[in-house]
Amino acid sequence: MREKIKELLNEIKFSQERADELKQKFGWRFVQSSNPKSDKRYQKLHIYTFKTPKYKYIVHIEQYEYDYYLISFFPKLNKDFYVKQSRLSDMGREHYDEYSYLTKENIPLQIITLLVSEMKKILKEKPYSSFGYFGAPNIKTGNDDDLFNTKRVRIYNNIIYNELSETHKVISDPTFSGSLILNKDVLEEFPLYENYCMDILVSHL
Amino acid sequence: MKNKLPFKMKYTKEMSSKFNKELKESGKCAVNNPKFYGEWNMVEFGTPEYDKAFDKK
Repeated sequence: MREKIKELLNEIKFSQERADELKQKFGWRFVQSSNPKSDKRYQKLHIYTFKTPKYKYIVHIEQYEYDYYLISFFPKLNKDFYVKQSRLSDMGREHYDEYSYLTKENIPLQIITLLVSEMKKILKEKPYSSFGYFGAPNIKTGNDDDLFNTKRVRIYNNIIYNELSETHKVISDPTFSGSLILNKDVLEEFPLYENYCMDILVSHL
Repeated sequence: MKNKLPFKMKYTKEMSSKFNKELKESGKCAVNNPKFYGEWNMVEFGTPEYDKAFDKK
């Protein structure tokens, strides 16, 4: 079954036309670019939103020095959700955060299409850009094992590799399900670029 | 090649070590394993190492 899923993922090809359709369907829009708060290291935070029939989603693209971007998205959830999950977490029980919450909308491929489209837009302006992201676990218990080899990271890696492997290297660590999409030319010139991107990515765990 | 890139990176191993040391000391680490920070094991997608590392039993 897993092999079949892998084969299917390999067959999925990004289409800008499809991305444009989805942007229209989900009302994808740029909200704002803001400067960092004093405790943040990014240069700019670019915020986008889109709406499905059930949820409003927020997309954060943090822009760092050396054309490095961290991408995350999550559904907008009400305050009660956070209060309840925080209580469960304090009791040491299974809980969710906004990244792990399962919306059950079955639209991961649509969302990843929107994000790849945005990455390609960034690459058009800044071809030496690199990216980082996490694949959140489906549930959290507070143990390190939560982060291990999540389904989300395996799916994202597959799709992104299919799209960007010509110019970028996709590297990932199963222990925390984080990935980097590193521009090969930048990496060749500055091997420590990997450390730079990793350090920032891991500081977001 | 050298003039091709739009930036010159000034990040060093020392800066990386300092960054991770401060992160560990900040108490804001999500991972409990103290050996984790600075010692990751990245594998490249499309290699046998990746397939082995991401094999879900």
